[in-house]
Amino acid sequence: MKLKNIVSLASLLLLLGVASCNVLDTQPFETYDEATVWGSKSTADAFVTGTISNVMYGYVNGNQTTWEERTGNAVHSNGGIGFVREQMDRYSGDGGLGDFGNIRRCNLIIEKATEYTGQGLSDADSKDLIAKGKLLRALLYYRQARTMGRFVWVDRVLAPADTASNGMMMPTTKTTTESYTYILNDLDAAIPDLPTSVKAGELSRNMAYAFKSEIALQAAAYETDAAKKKEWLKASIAAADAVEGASLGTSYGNIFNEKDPYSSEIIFAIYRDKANTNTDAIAPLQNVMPNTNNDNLVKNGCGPLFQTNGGQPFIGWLWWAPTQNLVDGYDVIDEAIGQGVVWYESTQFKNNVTLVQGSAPDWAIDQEKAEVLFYGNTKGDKLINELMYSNRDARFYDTFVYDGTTWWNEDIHLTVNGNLWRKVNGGLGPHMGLTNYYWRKGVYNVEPRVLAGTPTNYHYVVTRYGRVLLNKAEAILWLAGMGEGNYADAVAICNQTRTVHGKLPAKQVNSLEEAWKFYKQERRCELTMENDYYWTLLRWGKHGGYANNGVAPGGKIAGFTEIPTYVEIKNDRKSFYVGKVTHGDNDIREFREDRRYLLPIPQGQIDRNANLGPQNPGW
Amino acid sequence: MNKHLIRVFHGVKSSMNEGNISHKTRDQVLKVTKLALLFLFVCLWEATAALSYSQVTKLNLEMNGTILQVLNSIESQSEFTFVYKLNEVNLDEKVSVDLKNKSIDEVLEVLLRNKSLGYKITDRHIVLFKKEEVKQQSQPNMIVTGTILDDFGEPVIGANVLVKDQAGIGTTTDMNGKFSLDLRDLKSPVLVISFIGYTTQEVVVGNKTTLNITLKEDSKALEEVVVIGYGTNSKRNLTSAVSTVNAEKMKNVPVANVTDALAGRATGLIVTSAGGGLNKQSTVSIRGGGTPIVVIDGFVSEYNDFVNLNSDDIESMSILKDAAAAAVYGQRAGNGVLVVKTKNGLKGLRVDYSFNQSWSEPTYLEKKLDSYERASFDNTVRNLYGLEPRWTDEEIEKYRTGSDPYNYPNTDWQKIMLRNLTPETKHSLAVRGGSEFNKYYVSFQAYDQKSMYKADTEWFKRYNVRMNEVSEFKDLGLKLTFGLDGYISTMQTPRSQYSTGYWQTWGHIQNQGPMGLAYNKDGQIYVGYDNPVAEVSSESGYFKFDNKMITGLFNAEWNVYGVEGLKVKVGGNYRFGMYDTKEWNKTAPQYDLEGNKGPDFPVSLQYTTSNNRMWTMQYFVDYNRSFLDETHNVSTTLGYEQSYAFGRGFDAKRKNYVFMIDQMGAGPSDTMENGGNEWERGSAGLVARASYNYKKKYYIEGSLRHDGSDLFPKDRRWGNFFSGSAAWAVSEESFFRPLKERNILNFLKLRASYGQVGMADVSRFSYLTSYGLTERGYVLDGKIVPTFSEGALISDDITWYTINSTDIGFDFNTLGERLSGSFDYFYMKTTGFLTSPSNVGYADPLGLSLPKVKSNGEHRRAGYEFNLSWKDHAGDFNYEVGANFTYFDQLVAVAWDEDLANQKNPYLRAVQQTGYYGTGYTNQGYYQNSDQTLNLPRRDGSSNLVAGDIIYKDMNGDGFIDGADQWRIGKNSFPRGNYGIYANLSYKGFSANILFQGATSRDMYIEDVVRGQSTGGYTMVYPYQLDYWMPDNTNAKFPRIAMNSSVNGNNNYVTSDFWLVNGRYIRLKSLQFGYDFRSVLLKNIKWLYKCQVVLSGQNLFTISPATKYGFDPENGSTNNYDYPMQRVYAISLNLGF
Repeated sequence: MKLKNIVSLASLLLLLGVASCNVLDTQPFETYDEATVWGSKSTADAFVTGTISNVMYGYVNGNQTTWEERTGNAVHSNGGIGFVREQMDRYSGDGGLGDFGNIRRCNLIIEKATEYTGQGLSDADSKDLIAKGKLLRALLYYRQARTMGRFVWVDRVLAPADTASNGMMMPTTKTTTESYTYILNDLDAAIPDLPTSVKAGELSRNMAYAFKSEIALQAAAYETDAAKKKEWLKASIAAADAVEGASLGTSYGNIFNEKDPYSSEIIFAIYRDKANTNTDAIAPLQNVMPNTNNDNLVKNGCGPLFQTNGGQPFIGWLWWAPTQNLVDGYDVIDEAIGQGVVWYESTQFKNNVTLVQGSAPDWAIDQEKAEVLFYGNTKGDKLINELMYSNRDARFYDTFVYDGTTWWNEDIHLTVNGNLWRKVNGGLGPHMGLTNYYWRKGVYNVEPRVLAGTPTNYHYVVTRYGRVLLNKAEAILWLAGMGEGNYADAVAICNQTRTVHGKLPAKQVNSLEEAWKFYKQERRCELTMENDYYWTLLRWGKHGGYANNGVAPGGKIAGFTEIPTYVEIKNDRKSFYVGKVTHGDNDIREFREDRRYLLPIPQGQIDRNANLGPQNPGW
Repeated sequence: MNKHLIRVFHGVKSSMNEGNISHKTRDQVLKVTKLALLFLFVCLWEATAALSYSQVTKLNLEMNGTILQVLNSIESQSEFTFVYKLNEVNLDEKVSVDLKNKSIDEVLEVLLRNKSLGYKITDRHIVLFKKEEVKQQSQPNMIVTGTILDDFGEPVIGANVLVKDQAGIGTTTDMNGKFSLDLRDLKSPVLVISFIGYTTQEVVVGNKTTLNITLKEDSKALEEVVVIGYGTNSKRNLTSAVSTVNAEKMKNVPVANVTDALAGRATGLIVTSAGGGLNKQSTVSIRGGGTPIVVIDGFVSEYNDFVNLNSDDIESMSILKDAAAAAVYGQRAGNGVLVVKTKNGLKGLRVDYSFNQSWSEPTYLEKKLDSYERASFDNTVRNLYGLEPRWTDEEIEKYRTGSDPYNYPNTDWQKIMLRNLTPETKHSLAVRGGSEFNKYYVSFQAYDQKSMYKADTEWFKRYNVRMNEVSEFKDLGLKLTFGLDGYISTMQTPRSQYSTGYWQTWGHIQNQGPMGLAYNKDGQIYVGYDNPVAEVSSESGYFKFDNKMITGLFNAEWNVYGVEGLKVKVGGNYRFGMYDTKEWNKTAPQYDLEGNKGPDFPVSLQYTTSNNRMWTMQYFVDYNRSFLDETHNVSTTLGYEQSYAFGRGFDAKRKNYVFMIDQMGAGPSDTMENGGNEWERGSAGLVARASYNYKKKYYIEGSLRHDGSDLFPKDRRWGNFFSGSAAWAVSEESFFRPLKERNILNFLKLRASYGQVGMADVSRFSYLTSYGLTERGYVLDGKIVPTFSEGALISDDITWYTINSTDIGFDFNTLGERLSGSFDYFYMKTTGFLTSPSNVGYADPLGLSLPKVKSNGEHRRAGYEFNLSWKDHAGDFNYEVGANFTYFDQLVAVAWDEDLANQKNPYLRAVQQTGYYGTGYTNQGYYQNSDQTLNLPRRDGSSNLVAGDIIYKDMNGDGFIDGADQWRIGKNSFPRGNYGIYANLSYKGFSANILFQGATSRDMYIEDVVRGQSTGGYTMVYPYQLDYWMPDNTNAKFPRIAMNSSVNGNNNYVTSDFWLVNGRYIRLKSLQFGYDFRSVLLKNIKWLYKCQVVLSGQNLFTISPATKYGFDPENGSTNNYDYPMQRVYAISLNLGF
């Protein structure tokens, strides 16, 4: 080969290689640019839907269970948590400050909807989007307002350029008044343009009103100016009244399970589809199901044995169980007077049970004797579970699993040595309830049972008509206490939920004090496991007086310090006792009124941006 | 030691001035071509014409010049090789020759006439010597024959055999390593045997007529060829920090992949294991940096291809540590470069087969408490707190005696689940052969690894194949290289509802209590969640991956005709990789004691498949030339390289299987899911390097890469990376000669380098805006709908950033080249990190991170490293001992992603701190009495403190212990100092290789189960955990036992230095003991050149504080939630034909 040829060939190769293609001009193959997303209503809606998902999940799932365990309604089977013992500090705030990513999403909806009007979005489209952006922004900030009272108000899409001259070192709102004013203004701005008829899971005008009835109530509780307080209480009532087309569901329990997920009572719920949902992703399902099996029953002398699913119908990962304290709130119809009364005060109970206060029955084991508050023995052949659990508020049956009921086609025995007894696995501890009750409310009938990895549909009820009515009732009671309006209107509302959901006779109430008592019992029973009681107790503490067992406004809240209790029924069902849950120091409950009405703004954040301060009082 | 400097000239490799030469005859060309063809097809070297070569060969010479030039000319025309001693023979005399068609005898007669030189021809080797020294004594006939082999029993071809102090007598070995010498006139002759790359050896002939001589490889020989970026160099000429790994020493090491064999084997290379497990890789770091890039046979390759290399294929491996060595790889070389060259063929034919069988067991696997111990302990603790006993005496007795094994079981989960010894096998076959014209290397390896799980449901297999072929067209100056490299690695591991891998399964083996049952009375798997027996059962599902790769490469090198030293190279490779997975998620049926079947878990099947294609093209021009008899030596490289990759992936899934058939079609069609994606990436670079040395005394080198990456916006893609280095071989100076001659210091070279390499730590396409789509975002009216999210803000001001690397070092050898070593100090300063300012200042309200920009952040890493080795022999006993040590530390000098608030806190900040573990409380031991619990400041949130709880220090003295007292604690978790100590010994057929490896202090944080804590209460698993605080055991390893860890506000388990354990260690990493039966027993079997049996072990023992907690310091989990590190015993058989 001639030198020339080789050189030519080599040069050619080199040129070909260098010039063949520019290997650096690569690109991503799947992208969606801004114009694609905002240039049509359907794609813009998909952005809004994503924002709904982000914002509204903050109200459900783990929130229902964790905020419930911070009240006397539930206990954690591993033991008491630091929160109820005031063991949190200013660094580990639980208030959820920030969430600026989702705030940005809300502001982006509002701004882009404006910007793209006429460029793929009609005026109506734009209005609809802006209203939803504002509603979501209000709901996002409300979650921060009710924990910390304050937040960083951002009402536009910030740009990197805003970092100039400390533009990002934004302050928090100074007062709860300022915070709630922002929120309520957003709600009011959103309401007129929100759609009235929507798909299940979408934002609606009703939903905005429902939230407003509660937000205004919470705002009023923290408000010190009497006139403002009244204004907001009235706004709460007005909002509740503005809800259209909703009605109380006739079957209370079905609202929360697969039987009636689109109930007329539901104003807003978040739905899950079994295509991408397993039971283990749903805390109020997986984590309220006990875990035992027939072998454990046999080993520990318990029974009766389970008949279904190879002796293992219950293999959940229980953490939370309801307390006897909560159960006490569900009235029993007195067979003598036909009225609802506390179970241990019913005629049938009193006539058939000898109650002994302050000491333990001899069958209680020595180590637990000190826990006992009172015990009772039945007379004759009456069974204690029948006396306790018959003829109760219908919501009781829909909310709890109790001794003698049927659950997942099994006869449930919650007596000593019963098949779901608290110590069926040999001792107290994980995955069995500590109270001899289990949650039934919100538990879907998953085929064949609740088991990690099993697909299921689910829906979390975020707000519903019953809740709106009770919000209104509370506003009426507050106003009545301030000399405006009539508490009887509140009583009438409470009787609506009591009669429709509880299937109890309406209650007669003769004073504001009694009205408060009635209302408090009604709200606790009606809205348990719906992420309500914690916030409601704070409001009641702020109100004080009748709302808080006569304590002055801003005082200690008894609902937070009451010692959780359990029931222990002897296996012949002739004797029982009610005792304090001491496992894992569940009985140690504290509440520091000097700081607990508002959780801390995380100190680490204040350290980064001093404008977020000053710290909330007491932290 | 009488050192001979022997120069061997090979026509092709000659770098001397050729002068005027005439063209070859047509006949010769034809003959060479015919021979070459013969070699190509038969692949056997046959010296048919050897005996008469000197008579047959005719030469044409017409030139004026030195004798040396004439000799060169002869070498280039023929296959003759001249051998002579430099200090005896003067070749600078001028001669004038004009000879046509003469034999070599005739030529040399003319050439050496009247010169004081004599010659002797043996086949193709011509020995030159000083004439008058030829002794003429009369002695009996004595023809000595011999064979010269290397350490591995392979014949050394072309070794020089000279007689000491006798000019003119000598020869070279043939294809079989054999030689024959007539020593009849000599009195007590001593043979001097030498060959490049081997230690020169002297052998007293005595009365022997047959000699078997083993040449020892001279690993520290300065002429050793070292592969570097885009080329090779010799150790002598290196000006940068490059260390090498001796691949031969890794040959019989029983490890699953090459990364596991590297620890302790090279200076600057830090290799840390992260636990055992099938196909687990060690982490490889160069001087403490991140994962280096790997270059295999000249091309930047996927790291995975390095991991999956057949280690027997590795011919040499270099570690490019400083910028001077690595800058030619530009922005990818920030963490250093591993350069691997695989083996090529050789003349002749050699077949090597080796078989390796190994058995492994955990280095540490603490035995668990049994039921009786657990039950007794339960009662002890409850008694401590005044609670009812958990177990009655009868029950405890049942646990002790095992009289009621199904109601009171005592399950040894480790025994039930695990083998004592886990087998692995490896077969390797390599065929090397070829001729002058064409050489090939073909290898095949099969590796089969089993798991500790008795159930046999986990295994790993790998098959490697490699073919390297080189054709040399000498008359064209053209060399063509073709290579094909492929592997398939397959692994199966169990999958079930309970476990997606080691973390769960090993967790369950540990955490399942002895009071739980594994099987029911019928031997069926017992019900219950997380039963590890079910997890690994063959009736459960599996996850299988299949990684297939094939790379083809070619290279053409052309020595440009007429321009001495100029070479043009074109090369390219194409890689096709495929990665498939199949996951059959099924849980074995479980039964209760009565034989009732437990719950069925949902069953699903998922396939994923992805493939990628990558290619690289390289165009290079090299110029290497020496002038004025190696006074000026120049070497330059200039080239362009570009590569591109494209990939595509799919996945498909079905759920809730009704039919238990692990096929897609058998699954319910209403649960179908699928997905897929495609990607591409590209890079390009211009490379330039030039080096010059003056008499191999003063060296200077510079390199540059103009590097482009598609990670950055168009106008910021290209970066320039450069380096400069210099070296001074002090020992070559004349003033050094006395030291050298007295063997005080034989060689000393000082080096210094400075340069920049790059980093490009940014996600792809971050300079483009994009919204993200979530396919299954939300449910509206019972239907799943997609949702959109805003992507990250555009980072359009990003580009590469740089590591400025300085290295100063020296290499030396002394005491007659027996002691050698090197030392380096290095300092790397990385500046300009890409970061979002949101990480530093408060920009949270933006809602997204600020776009990434170049920062003024600065990170420094500095350290030193050295190695020393002593190599000598005493008779037939050869030994080499040595050590290497690498130490580094690092700090953030100017923070780039640390929050400003943190930076301002002197006790928390990471900036300006050398290695520490993290932040947490500082412990002060245990409260020993109630006075202390009342009077000492207590942590916010701690309550009910009693004696035996941990005291924390009020660091800021404000009387409270809260977040503000969580200061920096502990030492870095990555060891700062790493070392290897080795000894290689051999005596006749015996050989032993010993390697100790270790790391200096580092902290490991032990986790909840090992701490004896769990959210549910105390968890006592191991006997050592019984050493807890009691009034009579106040110096305990663990704090007091509480019924529940939260009883005191979790006081004892908040992050603190109490739970840090020092993970420093030294271990016998590798021990090999071999014997070659060929040396005595099978001496006379001609067709076998090697029959070696090697016994070896890996991780044979370990000394470390971590073992007090029952785990290996290199375990993957400080909670034992991982496959433990393994101790391996192996036997290997190496056969060579």
